[in-house]
Amino acid sequence: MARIDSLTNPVKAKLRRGEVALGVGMALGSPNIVELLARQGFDWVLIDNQHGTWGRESTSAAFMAARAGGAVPIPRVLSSEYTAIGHLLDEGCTGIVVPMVDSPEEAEQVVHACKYPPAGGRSLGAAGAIAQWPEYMNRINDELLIMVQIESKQAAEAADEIMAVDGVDGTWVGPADLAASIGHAQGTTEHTDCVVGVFEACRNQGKIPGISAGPPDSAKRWIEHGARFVTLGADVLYVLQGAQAELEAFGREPGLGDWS
Amino acid sequence: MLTNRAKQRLESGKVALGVSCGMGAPFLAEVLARAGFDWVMVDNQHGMWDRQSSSLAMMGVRAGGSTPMVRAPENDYYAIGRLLDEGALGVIVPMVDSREEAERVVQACRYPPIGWRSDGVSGASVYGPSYRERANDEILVAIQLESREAIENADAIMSVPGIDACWLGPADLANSLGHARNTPEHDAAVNEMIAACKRHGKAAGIAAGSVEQVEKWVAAGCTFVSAGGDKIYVGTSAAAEFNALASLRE
Repeated sequence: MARIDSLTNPVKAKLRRGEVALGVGMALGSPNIVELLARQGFDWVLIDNQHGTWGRESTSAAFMAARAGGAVPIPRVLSSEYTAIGHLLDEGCTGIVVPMVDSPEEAEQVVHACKYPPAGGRSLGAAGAIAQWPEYMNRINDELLIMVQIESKQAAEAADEIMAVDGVDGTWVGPADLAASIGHAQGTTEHTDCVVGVFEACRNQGKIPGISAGPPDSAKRWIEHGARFVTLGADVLYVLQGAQAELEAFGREPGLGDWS
Repeated sequence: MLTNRAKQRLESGKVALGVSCGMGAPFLAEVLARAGFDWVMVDNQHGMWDRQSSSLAMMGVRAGGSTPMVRAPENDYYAIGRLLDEGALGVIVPMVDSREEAERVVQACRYPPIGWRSDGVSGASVYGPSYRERANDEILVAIQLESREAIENADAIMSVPGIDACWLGPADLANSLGHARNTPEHDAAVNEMIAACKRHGKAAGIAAGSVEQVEKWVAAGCTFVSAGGDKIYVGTSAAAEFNALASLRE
């Protein structure tokens, strides 16, 4: 294994070149599964601190697992709160996804929490990030990928203003919450138009469009619409799908329903 | 997918420089690996590891780009097997005093037909589907000669097929010999180990314990060597800082 410069963010570089970066959702709290899926070939792993079963220590181990497997560790933070963001960054991730950012003011608060002065107001000091020293303090403002989630009617309407905020690199749209907020299910014309409108706002502002894209068919559709920061499945989904396929081969109904 | 750079270095006659990691913090294993050592030894004999943290420490070593090795708690088939299953690419087995004990090490470490390692992995899944096929070649098996009896049996032990290296334990050897390290008697015993390894084409090594000791024993023919570890680094740095400021407390 070659020595890895874990501070360089190949996902950010890929996105800047206009390429697609494929990620996978990690909800189950197992660093070992993170390393396996990282090695399987995903560009980045979403360590989901909003909806997943991660604690602070297992999150830190998951970042290490991603580095071991050659993927970029990108957590979704619990909320856009300053301290919550700071904790995760100090553990050594090089990207962050922030849920429920509805206005340019909230996006500015996110950037403030994420960047060291003078670009922002992040507190100096780091724990797991020490693996990336000595250059960490000088380089992390540039290497860190900051993605805010546009996932409400209000956010979609303000997409241009949110994406215009300096320091925000793009969005990872949450299609399910967006559907609930606009009152149109995923797959409807209204929902698709709304997401495509957000992607256009990204392009207008030179930012990266992305989405929690779901299964391959749906993901390909979103990539055709311009999405580049994309997650496909998730650890929990893969477990359910694998078990379902085996049970169905023996004529059993999967107890938790159809996840294929 | 599965390559053991430390073993490759030893097989080409180069020094493989290692470091001990025993404080129970997986993250320190990554930090030590990033410092540049060829192998990091997650010490399951004298270190503060439980099964899960030991597995995470091996992951930390991979994250830092080094080769994860372990010291097994004892020469026990199941204890050795589970460490390998969790992804160790090298095993150091303490207190091997006889040829029979060395053969037991090989039984535990090598898949058939060489040994009787049981099939089935956990963390080692990260090495991909070729793991089972390549494990016998890539895994480094080292034993510790660290008693008078072991030195007397050095030829019988190091000639066992499937053993790759010795990592001599100088402190326990000193206790067993009744002669402290760096005495002529102790040095002679270490040199006997080196000569036996050379006769059987195995890598000679030692838990040298300091930079000076590494240099001394590499000059004498050792290649599988380590100096310090996380515990020593923290302890010596803390003591140095305190001593530099100790007069302030008078």
